[in-house]
Amino acid sequence: MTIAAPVRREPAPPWLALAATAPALLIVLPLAYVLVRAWGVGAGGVADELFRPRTLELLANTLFLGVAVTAISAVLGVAAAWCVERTDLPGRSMWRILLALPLAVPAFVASFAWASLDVAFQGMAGAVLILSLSHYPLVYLPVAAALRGMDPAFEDVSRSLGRSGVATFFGAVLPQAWPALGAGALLVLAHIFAEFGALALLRVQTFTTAIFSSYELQFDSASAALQSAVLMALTLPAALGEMRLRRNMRFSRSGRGGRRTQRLQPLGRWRLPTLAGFSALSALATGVPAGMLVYWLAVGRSTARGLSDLGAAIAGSLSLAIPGAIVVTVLALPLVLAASRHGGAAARLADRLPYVVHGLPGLVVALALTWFAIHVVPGLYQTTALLIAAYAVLFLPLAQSALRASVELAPPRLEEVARSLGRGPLAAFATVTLPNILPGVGASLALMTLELVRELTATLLLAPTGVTTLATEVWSRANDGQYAAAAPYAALLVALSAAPVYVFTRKSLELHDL
Amino acid sequence: MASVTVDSVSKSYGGQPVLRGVDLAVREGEIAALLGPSGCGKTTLLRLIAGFERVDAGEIAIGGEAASRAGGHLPPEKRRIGYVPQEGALFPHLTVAGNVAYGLPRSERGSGRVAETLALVGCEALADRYPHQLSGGQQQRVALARALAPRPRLIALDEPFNGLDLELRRSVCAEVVATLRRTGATAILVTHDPEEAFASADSLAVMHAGRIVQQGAPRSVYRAPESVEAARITGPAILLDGTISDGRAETAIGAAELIEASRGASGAADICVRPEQIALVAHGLGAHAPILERSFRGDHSLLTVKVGNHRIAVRAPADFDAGADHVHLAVEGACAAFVRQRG
Repeated sequence: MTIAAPVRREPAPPWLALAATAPALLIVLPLAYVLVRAWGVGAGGVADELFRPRTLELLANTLFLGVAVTAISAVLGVAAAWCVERTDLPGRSMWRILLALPLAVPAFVASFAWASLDVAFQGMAGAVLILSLSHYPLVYLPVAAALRGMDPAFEDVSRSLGRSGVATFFGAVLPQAWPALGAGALLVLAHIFAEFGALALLRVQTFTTAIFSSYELQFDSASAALQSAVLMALTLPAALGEMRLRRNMRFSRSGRGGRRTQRLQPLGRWRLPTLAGFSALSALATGVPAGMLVYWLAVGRSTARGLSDLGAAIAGSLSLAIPGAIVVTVLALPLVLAASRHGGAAARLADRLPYVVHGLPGLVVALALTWFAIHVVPGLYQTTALLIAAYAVLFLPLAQSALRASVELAPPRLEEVARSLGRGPLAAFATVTLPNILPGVGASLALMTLELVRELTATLLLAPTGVTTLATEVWSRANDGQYAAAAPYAALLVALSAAPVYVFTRKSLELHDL
Repeated sequence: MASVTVDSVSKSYGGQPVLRGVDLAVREGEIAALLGPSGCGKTTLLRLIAGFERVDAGEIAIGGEAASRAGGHLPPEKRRIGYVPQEGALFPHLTVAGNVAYGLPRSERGSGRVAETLALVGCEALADRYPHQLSGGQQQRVALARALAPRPRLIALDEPFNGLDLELRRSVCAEVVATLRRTGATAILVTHDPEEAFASADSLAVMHAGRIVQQGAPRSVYRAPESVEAARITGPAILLDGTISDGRAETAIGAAELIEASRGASGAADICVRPEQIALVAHGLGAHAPILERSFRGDHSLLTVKVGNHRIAVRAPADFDAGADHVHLAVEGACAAFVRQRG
């Protein structure tokens, strides 16, 4: 092993610093909106709004939903990860994929499927069930990766010191998997706080659905802004906590060489019950949404409804998602380059800001941009540009993490060698750095496009009049109870999601096998 | 090929001084080694010479022309310094031939210079491979060929053999040095491994805490270190309490010759003895030293013995008498001495 030289970096060149401020400014916008609107209402108005019984009811609903879904997801995720990675469960490699599949079904599509099965699933209890089933993979994947990457020596030592299998799990295994579990759970929490489409379809009143109603009633509503402020106070700490834990996770990885494969715990007489449990979990989480989609597709075919506008929706989705992906990637690149090549407090802040704001619900971002367009740049309202700006705020972190891996493939040392061989800074960047990061940039563009196709909330609020997308079509038809008409759009969305989910699953599970 | 002169160069990062007035001279055609522990500033010095970073104060001249000084900086692409970083850093998107051709002017890329340079490092058969298809040693050789191809004025090697395991490290190092000698290149090799530095360098500069504490021929630096730091960085050194008088030192192991530079001193001093200078002698010819521990090491035995207030390790033959409870020791050859500061 060599000891890495201390990191010494020159500050970023001015062009890079300038290019990095644009996304940073964009990101500050939603925060500014909420503060300015709240300021405009005045202290008395703020107090009136915040202490209304309605606000308390929303707070109670939002918190209950968030905590319940997070707790159930954590239990399901840890149990699934342990059984798949550490026991002799039959068909483990199949379960590894099956258990991650619910990610391919956007939460609002799963909600539409369940709601169309029976009205009984609408309401708080149904929402807890459906959202837990669709979000537990966010805990399962990182915990499974942590369990796989763990050095079995710790468990051997714990057992040799007289601890039982169960005591070893709680004393030696779980503490090491804690950053992964914590980050996954906080991610679930942030998602639930920000979720809109699923909750609207399930008729559950939380801050997001309330903000949407306020917005529909009155364009530039002070209520919506204040409710947004409360929602931000809930989501931002969750996002911040997740970011911190994720950083720890990166550093607590164990070294590579000399690791033995994990010994598997025999399930014995628990084998059949465990198998039955996983079958039930998969049937509920994947089978029901898939089955309902197939059912409604069949109904739709017999009545020949729903297919007429499919082409327009695909075109609409792509016309927003492709330019969106390009803009987000182009905005993210200077952030990643400045932070990984040059460092410095400003570059680090600009690099992290998007992750903090990632905790912002799409709804709040959309409201903020609407307000900005109406009051500052009226020409922007109802344009694709405004929606793409919202995509940028919401999806920068995703583009950053996708790009970071590729930028790390071209370490600054390569550019230095190119300089020593007689190339100027720009020529060195173009002949060495760019060719090495382009494949990764291409892959991240494809991934971003598919992710943007799944985006519902901001698209619903900001898409130019007359433009429909797969996601907005699913939502509006399902919201009107036209399930058969919604099914083809939903099925296509799920099919398109398979690719990013596959990539995400592989990346998560291999995280510790690098 | 060109000479390099570094004149009182300083550099700090975020207020933390890394180099504090470094002077270094490398003659044309010479291989110089910069030897020092990690964090001593040797890599920073090399990066300043290569032009990747700017000096805060002082001046660096290459081939007699100023290249770096506060307020003036020749960019790395204008310096014609071939750079071989740790782990080679071959461009992963180019083949071996593409890597070697990278620094050549367009007209020369097809001219046979690539094959010629690859032949120089014995890698001509690898031209069409990609870096990930090469072993660690091959990568280092190709990295050297890439640096040599544009006929640079100087080759800068930054711990280039660090990633290799010990055995490979010695042989690749020997090959690289032989290649540098064949081309008559001026080279600066940064390393923390004294053996590597001794084996490759004409001139050895010892760095400690941001300064060059000694520069000279490897043999003389080893034999006559000018400071405790220089002694320790260049290899194992035993410091014995001693008293100097009449150009000789009296120690717990008996009298020791002094190197010329230390003969003028007098009084209490630390006498620097290299382990190979301590010899087992017959009864009556040296100091009596009780054996504290013994350890069989295959081709030799290692004894830990007590000499005065010191515990020192002494090499003995593998079949050293197991019953013996003491040995007799003497110091062979001349030693450096560092007079103790008063107070």
